Order: sequence, then structure tokens, then C-alpha cells
Amino acid sequence: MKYLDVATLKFNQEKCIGCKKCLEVCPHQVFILKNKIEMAHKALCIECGACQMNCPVDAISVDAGTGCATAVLYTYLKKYKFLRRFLKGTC
Amino acid sequence: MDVKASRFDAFSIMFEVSGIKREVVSDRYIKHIVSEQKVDQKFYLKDHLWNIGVRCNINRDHYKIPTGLYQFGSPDENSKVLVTGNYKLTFDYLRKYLKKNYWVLVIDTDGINVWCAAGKGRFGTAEVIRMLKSVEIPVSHNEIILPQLSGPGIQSHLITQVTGKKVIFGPVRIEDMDTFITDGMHESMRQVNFNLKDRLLLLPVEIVSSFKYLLVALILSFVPGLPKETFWIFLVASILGNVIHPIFLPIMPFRKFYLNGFLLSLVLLLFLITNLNALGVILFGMLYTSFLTMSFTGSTTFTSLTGVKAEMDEAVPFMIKWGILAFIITTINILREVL
Ligand code: SF4
Ligand code: SF4
Repeated sequence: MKYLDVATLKFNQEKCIGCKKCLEVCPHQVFILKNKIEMAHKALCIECGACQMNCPVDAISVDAGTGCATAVLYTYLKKYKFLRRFLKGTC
Repeated sequence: MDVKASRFDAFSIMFEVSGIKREVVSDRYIKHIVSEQKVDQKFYLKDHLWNIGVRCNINRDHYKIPTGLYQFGSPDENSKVLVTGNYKLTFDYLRKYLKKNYWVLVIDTDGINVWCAAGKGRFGTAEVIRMLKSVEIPVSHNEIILPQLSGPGIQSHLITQVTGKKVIFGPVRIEDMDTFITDGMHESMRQVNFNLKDRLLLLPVEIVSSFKYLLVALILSFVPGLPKETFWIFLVASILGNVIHPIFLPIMPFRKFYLNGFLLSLVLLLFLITNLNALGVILFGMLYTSFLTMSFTGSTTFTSLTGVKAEMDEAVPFMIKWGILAFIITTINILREVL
């Protein structure tokens, strides 16, 4: 199953030292190892941020967050206190 | 050293490991399955009943076990060390599937599951370091195994720098742990699935949370001027959004969830056969289904925040217009009924 291909994931191959942590943590196998590490399946990225957090040299950047419409609405409605009680944050 | 400060300030934690302040939400722990360090891997009626309740959104928060180091089987100094959160459902997976001997370090994730806790920074570098510093683990190696899904909250190189422990990310599913220990990592163990069983397990929470809206619909059915089908329309709308959509998700034609919702909700138009004056309420029902499907983005394993925002930028204005239209037509329907 695929979602919209708009993820903010960026990979700087020059910085990469090939430690393979990103291969280990990514739940959707976005990165693969050929001769070097490559960002092969960007469309599958869910912006969980695991690769960015665990890359020791900051070769990866992504605006991490959870892809949850309720959470997005909730953050938006936080501005309006009286509306907040109608929406409970999930998870 | 570079610290991604957006999630937490790792430096302050390193210097203040013991004095950390945590928000205490509840002190109620489930204790009957642990005594001292020993874990009872047998399931009791109590466990099953509680778990069913939690799956249905009853007492879902604060369903947690005390933090600390536990023994699964009879571990010795060569046994592996697993780290996990203190959510009882998570712990039950360990109790059910771990057949070998392990040390298990339970950290405080405030009774939420590993993935959600990691996303919020609760299953985070700081908490792991804090627990590693406060507990003595009697092993001769220095490896710890973290759940792969804790990745978004963890900076493994920082843990290594501060505690000297080597961090290994284990398989996604705890069922694979025993095989992982003996045979090593297999590609499939890293893959997050979202198969029918995963989706079915989500249904009860979704269904229970729609009860209150159905109650409102039931009351509205008796309001003069509104169609007496109101309750049934919303019941079907809710089934479409909460049950049909999750089950058939892989074969839905659109990538944007809310469009699938509107597509499914066309079924509601069948109510026009019994009552033409139900159109306004039907439009509301369609809106409800679409909203439910859009909300389901949060339960799936393959949506990204940027994607959801893009969908919502399109969906929300459309839904507002739809809602206004539904309101106007309902008003006309009521006037026709009453006059
Ligand atoms: S953000 Fe998450 S899903 Fe995206 S590439 Fe990184 S680890 Fe993989
Ligand atoms: S984690 Fe960073 S340095 Fe390591 S292989 Fe991936 S991109 Fe390269």
C-alpha cells in the first residue's frame, strides 16, 4: 500500500559513512545498499524520523511526525480552546 | 556531537540522569504477572478480560506494568538484554512469544506502545539511558536489543557514547525474536506489515468510539421534521467508514483516504428509495463516512505527515463546503416535512 509521494526526506550521500544504521531502523526499507547507501524508495517514507535520529553524521534529514489526520486537526484546533474538547488525540 | 534538540535535550539528561522529572499520570500498575524480577508467562482470565477491554478503548490509558529489570525464563550472564516499554499489551506480547531466556529492561513509556511512545519521544534516548544507569544488568556482554519500532525516538549512537552499550535494533515483531537470536536478521523481520489481521484488531476501538455519535443520531431520529431513517443512515455510514474501509483498504481505488470514503458512502444514496426527504441527512452521513476514512490515516502504517497534510489541505475545504450544502438541503427537507 502506498500513500502520496510527498515525503520531506532528504539524503546527502557525500556525508554518509556507510554505518548502515538507516537500513536497520527504517520500517519501510527506503534505503538500500548497493555500492553505497542509496535512497531507493522515497515514496514509501512515512516520515517517522528514525533514520535521521540514528544517523551519526546527519546525512539524512526529514520533517518527522505522525501521519494522522486526527492529530493534525487536534494541533490546529489547539488554537481554539473551546473546540478542543470535541477531538481527543489518538495514540 | 550533534544533538537533535527538537525531541528532547539530551545534554541535560546526561548531566542530570537521576534528577529527571516525569509527569506522573497514574500510579495504577498491573502487578499480578510479576513478582520481584520473575515474570509469569501464563495467561489468566484477568489478562484476557483486561486486554479485550483495552482493545475496545476501555481503560486504554495507564495500562502499565512497573519499570525495572525482569527475567524471562532463567537468563544467565550470556543471555540477551531486551529493552521495551511499560505498556501491558506490549509486555503481554513478550510473555506470549518469548520462549528463550532473556533479561528484559522495562522503561517508562507512560503506558503507551513502543511506536507511539517513540514518536512522542517517550521511548527516547533519555529514558533508555536513565534506566541503564539505574539498573545493574548481570551480563558479561554489553549489547542491548531495542525494538526496531522505537527508532524514531532513539539516537543509538548517543546511548553508546553515554553508557558504552552497543545498541542493536531487533525485529519489528516480537514473534521473530527467538529466531533472530539464533539465526540472525532476515529482511522480512524488518518489514512493517498492515495485513488483514492487523487491521481487524483495530476495528473494536474504531467501532466503540462511534457509539456516542450513533446515540446522537438515534435521538435525532425522533426529532420532528428529520427523517426517521436518520439513525440507520448514520449506522450504515459508520459501518462503511469503520469496518468496510479498513477491511478493503488494499483494494481501494484512490490514494487519498477521504475520496475512498466518499466513494463508499454512495451506498447511502439507497436510502433515497424509502424517503426522498432524507437527502440532507444522507449528505451528512456521506460526510461522516469520509471523515472516518480520513481519520483512519492515523491507524495505518504507511502514511506520512506531509502526505496527510496535503490530503487535508484538499479535503477540509471540500468537506466544509459539503457540510454547508448538507445543512441547506436538510433545512429545505425539514421545511417541506413540517409545512
Ligand atoms: S523517516 Fe522513517 S520511513 Fe522515512 S526513510 Fe527514515 S526511517 Fe524510513
Ligand atoms: S545512518 Fe547515515 S551514515 Fe549511516 S549508512 Fe545511513 S546515511 Fe550513511
